[in-house]
Amino acid sequence: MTEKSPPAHGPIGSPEGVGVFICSCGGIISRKIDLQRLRALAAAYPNVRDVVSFDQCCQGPAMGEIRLSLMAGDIDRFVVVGCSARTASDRFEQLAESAGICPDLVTFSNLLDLCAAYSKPEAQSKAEHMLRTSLKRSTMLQITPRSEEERLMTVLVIGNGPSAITASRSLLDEGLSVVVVNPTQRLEESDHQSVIPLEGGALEQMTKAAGDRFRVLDGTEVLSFTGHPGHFLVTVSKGREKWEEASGAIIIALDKVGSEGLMSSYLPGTITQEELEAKLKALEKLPKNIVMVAMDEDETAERSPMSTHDAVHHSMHAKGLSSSSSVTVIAREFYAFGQCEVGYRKAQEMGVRFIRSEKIPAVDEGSLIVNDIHTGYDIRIPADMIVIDNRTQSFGTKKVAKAFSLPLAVDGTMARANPKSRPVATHLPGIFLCGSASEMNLGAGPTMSAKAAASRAASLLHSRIMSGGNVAEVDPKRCSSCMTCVRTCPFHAPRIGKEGKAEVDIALCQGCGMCAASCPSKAIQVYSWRDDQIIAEISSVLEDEGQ
Amino acid sequence: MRIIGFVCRDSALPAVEHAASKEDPYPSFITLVEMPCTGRVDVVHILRAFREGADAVFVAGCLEGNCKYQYGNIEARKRVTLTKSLLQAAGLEPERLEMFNLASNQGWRFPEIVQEMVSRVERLGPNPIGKVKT
Repeated sequence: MTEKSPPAHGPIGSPEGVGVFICSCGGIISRKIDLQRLRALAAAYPNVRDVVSFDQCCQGPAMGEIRLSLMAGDIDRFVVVGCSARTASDRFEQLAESAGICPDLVTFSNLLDLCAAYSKPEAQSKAEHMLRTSLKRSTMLQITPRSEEERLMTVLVIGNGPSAITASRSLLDEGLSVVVVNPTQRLEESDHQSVIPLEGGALEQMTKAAGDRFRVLDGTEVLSFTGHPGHFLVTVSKGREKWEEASGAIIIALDKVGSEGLMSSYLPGTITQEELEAKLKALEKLPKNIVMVAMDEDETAERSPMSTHDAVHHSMHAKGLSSSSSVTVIAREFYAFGQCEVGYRKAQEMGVRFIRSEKIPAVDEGSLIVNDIHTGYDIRIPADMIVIDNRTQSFGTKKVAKAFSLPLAVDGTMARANPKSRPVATHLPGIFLCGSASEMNLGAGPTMSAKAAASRAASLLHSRIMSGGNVAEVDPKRCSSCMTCVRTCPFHAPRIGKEGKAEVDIALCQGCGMCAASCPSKAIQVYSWRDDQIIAEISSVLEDEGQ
Repeated sequence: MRIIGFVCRDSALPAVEHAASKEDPYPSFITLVEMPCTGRVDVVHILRAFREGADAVFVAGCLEGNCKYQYGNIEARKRVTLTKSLLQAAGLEPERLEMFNLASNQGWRFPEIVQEMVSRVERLGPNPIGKVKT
């Protein structure tokens, strides 16, 4: 749908007609507020064509009536007076679109939450005030530019191991093509981190079954990218050779690789948690004194919750297997999240000793010298077996983060858009994150996050990609080409165009408005959040209050 | 008393809605202007609010590091700091303006913010500019 959208810099025309739909929310709103008076107030407002109140606006019959009213033709925007935009926007924006109305011309007035706690007369005046403000805002809205983007049914996966393979497999199952950009010489098929390990030969099988839908580019690196969700162009290099790979979405699925770590200081006779796990599984006989050092060699490194997680569980199992052994765990700090908390307590009850120390313990003739953080004393602990963390380090994340201009988290991995609500997304739309490239994902593990990222990418490409909406627009007459917006935008949406003036790519713009607020020439306006709209809203709010 | 608050759509507004839907109404002289992100708040908007007679203005965005747009709230803080210096130059107390950060589930923070701004206005008195007729 490409609509005739007036420029964000032109004057705001007067609306064709405003519809006002008032919801009593099953009586919750009408208990405090006189909807009759709200209706009269709305009907008296200029340009309002239709005012209807319903018991529940969001229910089927009411939605049907609203739709008929919208189709009548003299309404080009409407206000829903009831609950919050978060609750209702999806439903009413869809309704607007189906009735041929621009979804950005729907305004919500949240009486349900914001008036709930007031006494009756106060709630009434607050509601009237809110309705006036919403009507003011609604009449000043403009049709926004919108367009549907083409979709390439290919996903580019950047990875070196099981996460990349798992993600690719899910994507191939979804009927998409996959290109793997692998910085190493060969994709690693398994590592200790996979919750569900890949069976041997998985890669070979997959390659055979997928045919030309699956390509692995070994020894390649990503240099830079352009484009938007649905159509990215990623510059890939192999040695001196450079070329572009087109894809609809991108998944960053780098896995950690082995490293020496503490191993160098503790050889010989030192094993890793992974090796201990194998011993525990095989019910091997354990020595008398077991010491686990759950800390990174680098004192400044971010403390990994996973390292104490492993140590707590293995110490518990070791103690269970051989109760006469003495088990000690040394760490800078103990993390015990979720179920691990129970394990931590149980391990203590079973007699595992936990010692906090800031310094790496020194080896001295079959024992370790630990500096206890609480007393400051050095403690000598006999050690027949020293267990250290799995030797891993993150791989290639810095380079990839630079290529995509994505932020890094404190521990050197890549930051997720939101750890809770968007755990496999990056800040850039269409680019997803999984494996140990992302911040610690306790509980889920790299395999799960790979599947999650693949399904996000697939659902993006299997549905229409609409761009536009409340986006920023540059007035070339005012633009002084100072590059402030280019530098400010977190999404790389503005760039200097052929005319030497800034242009905003609406497929990338997320409508935050940072560029508009930082533009020294005031050459940028955001649809629905234009300066004159905001100022009119401020004035109307204060005018009302003054009365 | 007139206090105007610029709130971001993704964090501060849900927090306010959450706070208001409980038994704790915020005073009705506080009015909110919804913003897509506090990064959209411009110096002009804040100055305009004072010119139209607001006694105090606050900007409420997400916790730092939690912005949906990476650093919109940090941009906003920069502009609030800049506007404070402009207010001072114009002879208004910079304390009439403040930036706050709260998460969408921190509804309890909002009454604190309101209380803070109300007590500042009580201390400083009404906006001396009054309402400038345009």
